[in-house]
Amino acid sequence: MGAANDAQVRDLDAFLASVERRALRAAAFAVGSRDDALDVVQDAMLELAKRYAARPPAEWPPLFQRILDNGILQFHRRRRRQTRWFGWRESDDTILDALPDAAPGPERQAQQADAMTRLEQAMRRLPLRQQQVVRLRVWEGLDVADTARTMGCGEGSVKTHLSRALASLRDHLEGYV
Amino acid sequence: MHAEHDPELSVEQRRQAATLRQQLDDSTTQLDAVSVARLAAARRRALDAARPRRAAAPWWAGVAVAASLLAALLLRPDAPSTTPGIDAEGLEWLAMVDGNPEAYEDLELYEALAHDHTADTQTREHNS
Repeated sequence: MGAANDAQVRDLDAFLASVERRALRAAAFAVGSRDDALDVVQDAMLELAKRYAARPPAEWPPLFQRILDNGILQFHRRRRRQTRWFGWRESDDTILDALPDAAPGPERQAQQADAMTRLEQAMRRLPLRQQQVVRLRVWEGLDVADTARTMGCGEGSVKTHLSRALASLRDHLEGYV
Repeated sequence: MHAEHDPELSVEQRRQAATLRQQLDDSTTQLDAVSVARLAAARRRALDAARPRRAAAPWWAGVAVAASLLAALLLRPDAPSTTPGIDAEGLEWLAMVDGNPEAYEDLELYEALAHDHTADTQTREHNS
């Protein structure tokens, strides 16, 4: 822990800018709501900046993913408690409610929306651990060892989770993946 | 190393991983403007949190200054002033309490002026 100098802050800015959109998408797949996902990502950014900004930039990717995972798990724990006491109210705010920045033609827009809907549904069907491994191994490009450290499990478990996740996605995204 | 380059995976799994990554990447380009703006704001807040802050003075520093000021007022009520109308030591305390280093420069200037003033007064008294 410690304050970062100007160069470290600039590096951190570049790092966060490079991962924030993927983090938001991944969090949205995991928590199911854009607003909740934004909260989770914001908390992860803050924690990384407060606690690890002075660490070497090479350490940030697995640290950030681990913090993000913890945030997602805490969100689900809170939701389970709320469900237990207050009943579950499904959020109607999904990441797909967001309008795209660019405006492609209607046909292309429909295709993209369809692909995104299928992808989102398929990702959400995966258990959290499999979502994690897809995010870390397929999307973020962490190697097996870093993924295992981030997930707090063995390398064999990482391989098993990835294999199952890919099989499940192949079944649910036939023709797309 | 991304899964799509992992030699331990089958060719089919690597192809699937590559396609999946492309689709996931595509999904990030379709974020709405509000989400993008909120991400940027969150990043700014995080960077602010990473920047060094001036350490706050410990609580006992304020107590020590206040006690010293009180002691100066109580124990030396008739301390001779080097300048007419203002006590130099008081000005120094004010500078410390205020935490403004420039006040020290002002103090030096003030003392220099006071010295000149005292010298002028003495010269005038001597001449008269």
